[in-house]
Amino acid sequence: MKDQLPSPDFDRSRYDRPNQDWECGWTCDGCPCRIGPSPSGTCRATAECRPVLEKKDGEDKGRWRCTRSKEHGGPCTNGPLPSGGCACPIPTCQPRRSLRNQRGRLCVAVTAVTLALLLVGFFGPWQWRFISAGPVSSNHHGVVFAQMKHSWPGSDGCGACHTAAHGDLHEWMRAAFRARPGPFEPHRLLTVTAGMTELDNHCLSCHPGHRFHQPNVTRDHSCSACHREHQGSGRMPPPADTQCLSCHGNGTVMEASRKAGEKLPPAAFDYRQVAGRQHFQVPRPERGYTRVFKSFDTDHPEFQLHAQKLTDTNSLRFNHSLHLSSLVQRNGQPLACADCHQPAAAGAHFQAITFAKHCQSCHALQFDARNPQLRVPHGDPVGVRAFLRSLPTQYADLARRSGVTAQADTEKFVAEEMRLLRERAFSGENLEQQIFFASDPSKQLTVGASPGNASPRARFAGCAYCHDVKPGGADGLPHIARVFTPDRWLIRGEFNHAKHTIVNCAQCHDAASSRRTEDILLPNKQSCTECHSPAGGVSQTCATCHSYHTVHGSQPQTKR
Amino acid sequence: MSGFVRRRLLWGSLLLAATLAVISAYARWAGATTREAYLSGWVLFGLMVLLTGYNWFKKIPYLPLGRSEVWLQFHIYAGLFTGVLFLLHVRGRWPTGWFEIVLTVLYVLVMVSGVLGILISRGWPKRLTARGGEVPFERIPIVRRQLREQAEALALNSVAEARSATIAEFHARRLHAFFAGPQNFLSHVFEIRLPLNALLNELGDLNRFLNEQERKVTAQLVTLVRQKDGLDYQHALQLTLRLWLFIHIPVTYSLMLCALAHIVLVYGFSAGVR
Amino acid sequence: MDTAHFVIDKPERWDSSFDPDMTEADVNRLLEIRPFSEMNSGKFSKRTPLRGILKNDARIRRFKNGEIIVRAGDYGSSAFLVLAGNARVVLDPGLPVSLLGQRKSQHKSLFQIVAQLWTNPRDPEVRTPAELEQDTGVKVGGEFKGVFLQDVPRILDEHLTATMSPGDFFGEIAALSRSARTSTIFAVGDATEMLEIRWQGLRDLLRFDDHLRHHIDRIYRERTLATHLREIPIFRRLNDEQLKRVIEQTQFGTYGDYDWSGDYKRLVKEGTRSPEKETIIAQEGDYPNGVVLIRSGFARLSQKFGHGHRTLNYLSAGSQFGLREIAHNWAHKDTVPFQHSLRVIGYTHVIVVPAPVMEEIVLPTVPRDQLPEFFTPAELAGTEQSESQQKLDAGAKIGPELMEFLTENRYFNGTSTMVIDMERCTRCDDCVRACASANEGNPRFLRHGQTTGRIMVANSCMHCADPVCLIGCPTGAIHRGQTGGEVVVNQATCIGCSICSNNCPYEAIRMVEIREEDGAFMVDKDMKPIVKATKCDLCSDQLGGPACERSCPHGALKRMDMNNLDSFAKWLQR
Repeated sequence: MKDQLPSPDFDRSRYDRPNQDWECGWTCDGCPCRIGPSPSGTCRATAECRPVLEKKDGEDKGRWRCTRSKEHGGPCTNGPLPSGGCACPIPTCQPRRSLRNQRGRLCVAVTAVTLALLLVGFFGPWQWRFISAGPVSSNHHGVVFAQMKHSWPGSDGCGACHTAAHGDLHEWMRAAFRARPGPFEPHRLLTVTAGMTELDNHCLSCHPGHRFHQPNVTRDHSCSACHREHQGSGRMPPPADTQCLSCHGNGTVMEASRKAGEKLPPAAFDYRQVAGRQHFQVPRPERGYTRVFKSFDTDHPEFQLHAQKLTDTNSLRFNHSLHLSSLVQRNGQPLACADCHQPAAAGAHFQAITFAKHCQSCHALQFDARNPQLRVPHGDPVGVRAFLRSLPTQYADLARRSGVTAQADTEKFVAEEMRLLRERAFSGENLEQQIFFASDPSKQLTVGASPGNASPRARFAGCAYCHDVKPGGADGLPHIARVFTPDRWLIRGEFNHAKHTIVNCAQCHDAASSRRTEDILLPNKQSCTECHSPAGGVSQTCATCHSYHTVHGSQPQTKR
Repeated sequence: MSGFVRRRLLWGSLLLAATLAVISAYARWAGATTREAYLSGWVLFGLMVLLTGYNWFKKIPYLPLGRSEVWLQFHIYAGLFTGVLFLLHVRGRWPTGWFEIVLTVLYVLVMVSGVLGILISRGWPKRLTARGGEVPFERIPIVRRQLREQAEALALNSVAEARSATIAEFHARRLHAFFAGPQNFLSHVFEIRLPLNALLNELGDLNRFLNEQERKVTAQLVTLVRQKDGLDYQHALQLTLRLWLFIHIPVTYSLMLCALAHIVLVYGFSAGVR
Repeated sequence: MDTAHFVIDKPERWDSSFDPDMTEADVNRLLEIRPFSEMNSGKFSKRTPLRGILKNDARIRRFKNGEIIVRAGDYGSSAFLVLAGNARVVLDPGLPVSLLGQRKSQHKSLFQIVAQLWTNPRDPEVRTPAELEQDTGVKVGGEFKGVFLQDVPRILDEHLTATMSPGDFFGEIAALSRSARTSTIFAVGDATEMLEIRWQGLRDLLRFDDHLRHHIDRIYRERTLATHLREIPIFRRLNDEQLKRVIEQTQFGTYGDYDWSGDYKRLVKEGTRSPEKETIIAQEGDYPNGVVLIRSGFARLSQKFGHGHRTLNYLSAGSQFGLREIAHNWAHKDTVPFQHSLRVIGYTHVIVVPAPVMEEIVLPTVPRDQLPEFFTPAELAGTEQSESQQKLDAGAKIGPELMEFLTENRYFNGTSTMVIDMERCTRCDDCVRACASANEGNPRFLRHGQTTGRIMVANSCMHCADPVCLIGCPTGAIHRGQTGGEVVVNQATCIGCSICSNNCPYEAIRMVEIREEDGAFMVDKDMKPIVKATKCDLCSDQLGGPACERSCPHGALKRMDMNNLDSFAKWLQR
């Protein structure tokens, strides 16, 4: 409604001046004076006119005349005071700042307050808590760390990692300029790669030894690039896949690494031996481990065991299929995986298979069916020979143990057994040969179970039944190939059986169909990706299985 | 297609292109090193300096540095782009350190006040024009004074003419405060007619106690009340259109100061790109 | 602090005479030659005697061969009388601009512009002594650097010229009608002597003496009219003989008051601004008895609409009216009447060429394809709109309400009208502040004015095509700039008489009390404050054009040329 308001009376002499800093204090009352405040904000109001003394000819006193201009009302009715002052003073005001000016002052005030707060924050009592980018992980927060804390400045031990925390603003600035690329080199950010920085050198003071990865690595990776701190107060998060893929997903880097690897002697890639553990030696591929791939479930290379169709070179003969079939029974039940493979302490892996713990209960090395308590000692051909050559003593001992006390009975027993043996084997040496070299189960030495036995005995056809026995060892003894049963098949990746208890053995290990020792029963990658993939829902990050820190070289592995 | 729509499309597609470019660059570089945080940080800071420069550009209008309209369009879209950059810079996560929280809060304040500011700058002029009765902001007190004096004169005169103080008493009780200064600020901002209607109803109710002559006076008072309400509307909206910058600009300076401190801290304590 | 007062002398009309070197001897000499010799000095008023006018409002100038006296396109405010020697008038087409050595307008240097950051005074309306230094006028003789044409004989060869000899008058129409010079005039021979009379003097001479008026009338018919007619395409093919016959029968008339603003304001007060009250030049429905050519001023083109009249457009200098009807009637032997009405708004000076003249002499010389579009029966019936009609109908482009608004308030006059789109203006005052920064801290307009719908015409000088403010200035302080046509007030010569401010129908000129550098008001001996007229000067001394337009963040403010409504319509629909 346009006739809602009267248009304000725009007198000719007045412009609106929003650019002025001060306005007359009477403005909000609706009658600003025409003089206006000074630029510094003082009221300049005096009087409406400045009277002029008019002396006509002949007068000696003259009259004061009002000189108020026409626009402001013309001469006033009463005229000036007799003393010459104007009778219409303009009321003074308290000038007010314009909105714009107030805003400017607010800006200044806010900037000052911010500066003050920053000073308090950065140099006050809560300095480190204020500056810190977030809580530190529990790895760097524990008791041990706290005990060391006092040796570094900063209330929470910031100085342990940050050089800047050793000093004040000066030190911060100096540290800032030591950074690479520096603050005035933002263009270098486009081409930089992550190398070791001052910060990472601090990591090394507690976590020594640098070259953590393969010997043919061409690009250094800084500690703190993968191990990010200030991410929360829990455990430090594992490195992200993108870190790994920054090299393993990058063709150029992988190519350079491959070339570097060709120049290194093979010995550089030898596995570091861990006491008491046997590793399955996988030959290093020709190109090293430099294939470019993107993720586990898509194009992560197949496990070498399967890709190169490697075989178990163990000399011990073992048929999983037979042992799991119904032909083999214990206590009326067929054998299960767990009967031989028992978890080690933490459950991640299994206890090593030994003859004494796992085989002997069925394969007892009984060479005499009439006297099943007599067993050839296992493990050393010298011991076997010694045993065999002392057979009469063994039998005598057996008799004594069976309760035969009289000397004559013992001798009779011994003589009888020896005679039967001689009948069978014709000579001690023959017997020895048989024991060592016979391997045909159909011609087993023991002749079936004696009537008193309840469980079927495993056959002992001879050492060669299981072992690789060749003539020509020392002292005329055969040479029995050393048995090499690996404890660890996957060196570069960690597998934790304890975490996989929801899966049963046969789902991954196809033992039931393996009849030969050389079968490697480890699952292939596809069996893993059934769960470890986006579709399967289980984590498939690199860090789930792999560690950056190397398995080569003589340096002790860093404590994790 | 109207020129404004075309302009919006042009700038909008520029913004979209920049966003896509920066997101793809981020995806390419992210994770391997921390350099994407540095890069996004520097671009963010540089843009913020340019954005802050808009207020300084306005102080030198006699230099031919381009039209303010174009600068404002740049300011709006570059400002929105800083939102994208900021999210990339903090990786979409609320920060955990105290100082960084301060920075984030300041940034959010500037951003939100800016977005609200442009929304009211585009929407409220239409409200003001539709309502009518345009008065320049500096003249509002003068018009207010006129209305006040007219109302007072009416009320006082009615006493003598009608020999009854009803109107005068009502004026002293209700209208004096109403005409004294700006009223009903929030009601006007949110376009709520309640206070005006209430007052007019009261005036209407007064009529049953008045004679013919006095009713003419109240009719005039009603006109004055409407005019004063229109003036208050102008005042409320025009004041808000000025005051939103009281948040946007000072907080910007605070933010820039903290950003500088942040740069010092980052370079000092992180020892470079890892 | 007291508003200390600073006493200076109040400026008077002839404080700055046109040429301080004019002597009494010169005046005596002038009084002996025509037309001054025939003037009756008794008829002149006491305040402006003939001698006074000649001494203070005129000067004698001497030109060398080839020196340019006036340039086509310049806005000048003086007329010339040839005293000795002769001059050539370059007829259409005129000289190329490169030969004329156009003078650059006085910009501030880049350093001065940047220095405004710290040199702008903080008090309002401060005047430094340098700004108030009186313009002592231009020196004549060797010290005055005139601009010379380079190759006079070749120019005379290549261009059509007319000769001016002693006793000839020229430039009076441009001076009096406040329009641009129509032709370039240069001196031939080294002994050319001119009397330059500034228009205040000319106005007074015309007012008090009939002789000069008749004289100018006759010259006008003989010289100027021919030139004017030749400029119009339809008359171009006439030979001299035919043109002479046309001129003999041409009528011309002036409607309205030269000083129309007074009338207009009175009309506003009485509330009678409707078209019906305006003088009609030609009526819709009448027999088309001649082609009306508008020489200066404005006329409203309207059409009957319901019980009222709808304004289609306003015609300004150079427009024609009625040609279409007459051409159609002549070609088809028809009797189509005037389709629109033409009314005077303010002041209009027209030339009417009668219909018989057109039919017998002019139209036969025009080739068929150059004739205006003929009427179709559908158009005459009102069911269709032809292309010519559409081009003419500016009212339809910008909306009838806006059209009426512009015409009623006489805003069509503006070449740089400040228009604000109130639906985009956030009332932030950036424009006012920018204007203030560019003018030593003083804004030169008010962000308020008449509104229609969403368009507000703000209270800023529109730099009118017909600047009424120029009438009456005693010292010529308010004048048109050399190029571009902006109207500026010379602060030094302004005496604060308020005539221009009172004249301006749009209240765009404000009288302000000026101050010293420390903020004290300047007063004269009578303790009356010295006032000066102030107005927008289109930032003519700054770089980059008007600061207000550039500084609006929302594109709400635009300075529009109201004579080109197409661009206005485009801006409205942006």
